[in-house]
Parts: sequence; structure tokens; C-alpha cells
Amino acid sequence: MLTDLVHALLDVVINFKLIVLVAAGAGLGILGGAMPGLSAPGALAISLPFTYSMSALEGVSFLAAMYTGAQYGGSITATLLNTPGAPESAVMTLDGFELTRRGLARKALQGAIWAGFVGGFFGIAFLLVILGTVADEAARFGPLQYTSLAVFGFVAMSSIAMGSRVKALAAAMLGLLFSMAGLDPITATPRYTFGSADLYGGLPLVPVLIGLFAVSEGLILVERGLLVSASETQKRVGFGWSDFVACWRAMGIGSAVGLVIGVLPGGGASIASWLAYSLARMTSKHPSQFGKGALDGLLSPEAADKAMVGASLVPLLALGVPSTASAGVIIGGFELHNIVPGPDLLKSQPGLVFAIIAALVVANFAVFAWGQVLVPLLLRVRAIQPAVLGVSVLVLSLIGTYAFNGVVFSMTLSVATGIFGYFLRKAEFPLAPIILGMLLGPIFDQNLRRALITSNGSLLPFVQDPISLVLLALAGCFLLAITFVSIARRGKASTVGMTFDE
Amino acid sequence: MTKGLSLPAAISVAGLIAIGLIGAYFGYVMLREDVLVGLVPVVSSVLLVIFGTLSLFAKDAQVAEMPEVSEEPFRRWAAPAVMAFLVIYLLAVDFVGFDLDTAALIILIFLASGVRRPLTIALTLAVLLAVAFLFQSILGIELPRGVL
Repeated sequence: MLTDLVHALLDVVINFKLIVLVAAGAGLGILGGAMPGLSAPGALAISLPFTYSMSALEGVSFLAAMYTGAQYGGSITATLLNTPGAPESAVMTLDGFELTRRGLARKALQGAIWAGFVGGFFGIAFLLVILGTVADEAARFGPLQYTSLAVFGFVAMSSIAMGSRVKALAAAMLGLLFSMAGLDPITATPRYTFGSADLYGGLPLVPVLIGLFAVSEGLILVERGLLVSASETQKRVGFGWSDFVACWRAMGIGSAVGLVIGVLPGGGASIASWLAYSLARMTSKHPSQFGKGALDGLLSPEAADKAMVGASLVPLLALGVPSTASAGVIIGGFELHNIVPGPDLLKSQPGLVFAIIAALVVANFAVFAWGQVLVPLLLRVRAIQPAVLGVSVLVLSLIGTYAFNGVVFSMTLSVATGIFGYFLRKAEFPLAPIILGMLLGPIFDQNLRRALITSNGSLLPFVQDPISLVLLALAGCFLLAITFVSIARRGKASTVGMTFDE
Repeated sequence: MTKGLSLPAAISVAGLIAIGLIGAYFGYVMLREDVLVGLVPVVSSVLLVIFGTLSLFAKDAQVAEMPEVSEEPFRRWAAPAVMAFLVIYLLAVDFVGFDLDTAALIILIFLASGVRRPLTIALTLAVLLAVAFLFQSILGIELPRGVL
């Protein structure tokens, strides 16, 4: 496996065009992620149509590099402007902005680069170690196992969703229902097409992605006022070796949390960063400093965010199942080039898979390098006008969706989902489960039906097959765990590890 | 629910329930034709109606525990106005053409969001139309030309 990566890495390094694209993707990702309100999936969704003209390797590597960069970019505005670039960066305002107020923004941002670098490599190493095993197991998957996997995905998605689980489930069901539109692939019966030829191929993923994540964000941005930075003069104190040694434990904890949460379906980036923060505080020698400018309070969630990138590619590449909304956009990138990620991809095109992982390694270095260049420039940012960002996001979204298939219907779909997405966001419905529902829906529907046809309508084979049983048991464990946590929270609400008034 | 139902929450829940009911009705029609074809559509529609309704009573426990971030002032009517502009934009784009329609959209959005500086508007307009031009020339995709 490591030899394959080394070969792929050498191939990538001598491919000048790919290097430029990966570096550009990482830089654009940082800028996209740093825009307040524009989260990683939003930035990726806008860029998705721009990968049409690229090869599959270039397009997917570009998106993966953007994903890596956007995860870092989210922490920049959290630290400098007290405004998280993405929901998962909200926790970074706690200590990041405090450090900025004390004139230590340079140290905070450079530390975040290092934490992301460490977390990113943990994620890639994890991906390399586990991908082959998971893909081998996945090759034995049939309708029974895929149905149970989808059930596990839906349960895990609702379990680790930030905020209300009921809202996450409602969003997931909406995505599942969206995925039912179009000609049924088994019987060719039209479902939810309403006589429109545009819907015979189903609701296209790309315009829905752009609508939900980009158009809705554009609408939120145009109503926001000027964002102003902390006016304190920043000291020229950077992140040194002694800081790295002092924070290694927090970065390690964050990376471990990111790996575990990253493989679970549910877009749990927010929960990963909050959990990493809580665990870092619990194990810290100075927990009282958390929330008052503790560097490890910033670095632990940053490491978790970046570790999630590699971890989230495990279910994507091995099973064809996304675990985060950004991974869902990357699946969209595969779809644009008529490639179906999953166990067959690793067998039929191992070179492509290893080249993508190699590009991820390059992207990690690129984000590190961009960070060194951008930090001094970003420290000079005194204000951001969200309306300009909002207009840009909206217009680029319209261009991108029209380019998807050259019909105004795509734009209409994008605007419609964007407007509905705006209201869902305002009502605090998570959007990631909609995309995950759309991607898990066909897997669930087609495999359930095939399994039921084979078993003459009996559900017994689902518990007789060992892999299916394990997946259903895991889903049951998640359900039990969330029930237990809910009861415990009701009993002692203030003891949940996410309170900040200790 | 303690603070009362907000307008976005009401629109979201009403939208989810409406989609769920429409889905359930057409799913039921499919179910009568072929049980397996309509099974997942009906189940997902019914669950959407149930979870959509239950979300009215949902508490955003973790969200409530998050620290307060800077609450910047915002323009309450900017987003609804932009939504209306987008609908008009879509209706007009085939007639007016992409460039003219988009230029008008950009100016209207800026006005709705309170940006009045001509330089900001002109620069954004120039950059975005240049991106659209590059997009067309690189990808060979022709954006709507209109009939005007």
C-alpha cells in the first residue's frame, strides 16, 4: 500500500499541471473557507462546475485540495473577526479571538496551520492503513449488506448531528425523498417526475448542492452588515517549537477525535471540533485557561477538522458512501466524470485512487505553505463586506448551475433549493443530512428491493448475514447511546461537556 | 418553542410537511401499482411529515449552549428582496440574456444590501462578468444570449 502511494506521489510530483491545480485548490479552499458564512461544502459546490474541463484525477484532486484548505480557512475569521467561517469553526472563536485580543493572532494562526498539518497527516495515514481492509470487506457486500449500511448511515447521521436530532432526521428524509425522483432504475417507472422531462433523470445532485450550500449562503451574506476585526496591534510573536511541544497532546487528541467522527456518516465536523475542545480541556494541565486564550483550545479542534478530511475519504472511496457534506460534493466530482466511487473503483482504477491520496498529501503541504504566505496578509484585514461576497457567491452559483447541463431548469432548481435552504438554515435545520440522504437514498431503495425480491419479502436474511447483523447492531448501539445521552442530559443538563461557564 | 415560532421556522416546517404530504400522495399511487416501487417513497414521505411536525417541538440543546459570537447588524428585508430579484432574473434570463440580466441582478442586490459605493459595485460587476466570460471561453459553454 505504501509502495503504491510512493509511486503515485512521484507521478503526482512530476505532473506540473496537477501540482498547480492542487496548490490553487488549496489556496482557493483557504479563501473560500475563510469567507464568513461560506462553509467548506459551499466553497466546494461553487467550484464543482469548474472541474468539468479537467480530467477525473485533476478534478477530484482539486476538490480534495479545496476541502483541505477550506477546513483551515474556517478558523481564520473565527480567530481574527470572532466570526466563524463555518459552523465547525465556532469553537475556535473561544480561544482564537481571545488570543487576537491579546495581540497574539500571529501565534494563533500559525499554530492552527501546524495543528492542521499534523491532523491532516493523521487523516491520510489512517486512510492508507484502513482503506484496503474496508474495500476488501466492501467487495463482499451485496443488497443485504448495502441496505444495512444505509440504515446504519441514517442512524449515525441523526446521532451525531449538531443541534436537534429530529431536525436532522427530517432533513435526511427530505434528501431521501429527493433521491426518489426520476425513472426507477429497476422497473423504469416514473417517480415524482410530474410529467416533466427534466426530472426523468432524477433531481440532479450538482444544482441541489449549489442551491443548498452556496445560494442559501449567498442570501445570508447579503443581509449581514460590515464585519470588523479586533483593532489591537498584533505582536510579532509567532508559533515556536516550545508551543508545539506544549500543545502536542491537544493536537493528538483532536486528530484522534477527527478520525473517529470523520468515518461516520453525518457531517459531524461540528461535533468533532466541540468534542476535541472538550477532551483537550478535560486532559489539560490548565483547564481554567480555556476560553481565555488557551492555545491548545484552538489547536485541538483545528487538528480534528483536518484529520476528518482523510478519514471522510475512507467510506467515500471504499464504499461510495459520503460521511460529510464536503465528501458528498467530491462524489459529485466523481459523477461529473462518470466514475462511481466504491470497492470496484479501488480494483479497476487503483492508480486513480492512490493518485488522489497522493494529491491529498501535496495539498496538506500546499495548505501549510499558503498559510505561511497568507497569515501576514490576513493580519492586515480590518473589515469584510459580506454583501460583496454574497453577490459573488450568487452569481458564480448561477453560472455554475447553468454550465451543469446548459438549461435554465438547473438554475431554477438551484435557486428554489437555495431559497428553501435559506429558511431551513434560519430555522437551524442541518443541511448536510439532505445531501447524505440524497446519496444514501438510491443505495437504500435499490438494495432493499433487490434483497426483498431475493428473499420473497422476508426480513430474516438481514439478521442472518453476519456483516448485515453487525451493521444493524451498530445502528442499534447508536440508538441506545443517544437515548442514554438524552436521558442523562435531561437529568443533569449542566454536566454535558459543552458548557462554557465553569 | 419557548421563544415562539419564528417565520423561517414556520416556513421551513410548512414546506417540509407540504413536500411530505405531496410525496405521500404520489407515493401511495405508486404503491398501488407496485408495492416495492412505492415502498421507500411512502415511508420517507410519512417520516418527513412526522419529523417535520416534531421539529416544531425540538430543542436545539447544543446550539443554545454555544458561546455568543459577535452579532453584527443585518438588513431584515435584504434576503426576501434578493429572492424576488432571483425569481425575476430566472424569468427574464432567456429574453434579456445572461450578461444584461446578471448586471441588473448584481446592482439590485447591492442596493438591497445597502452597498452604495459606485466603485465597489463597478469592480464587482467587472470581475464577475470577466469570470463569466472566462468560464464560457475555457469550458466552451454558451450562457443565455437572449433575444433583445
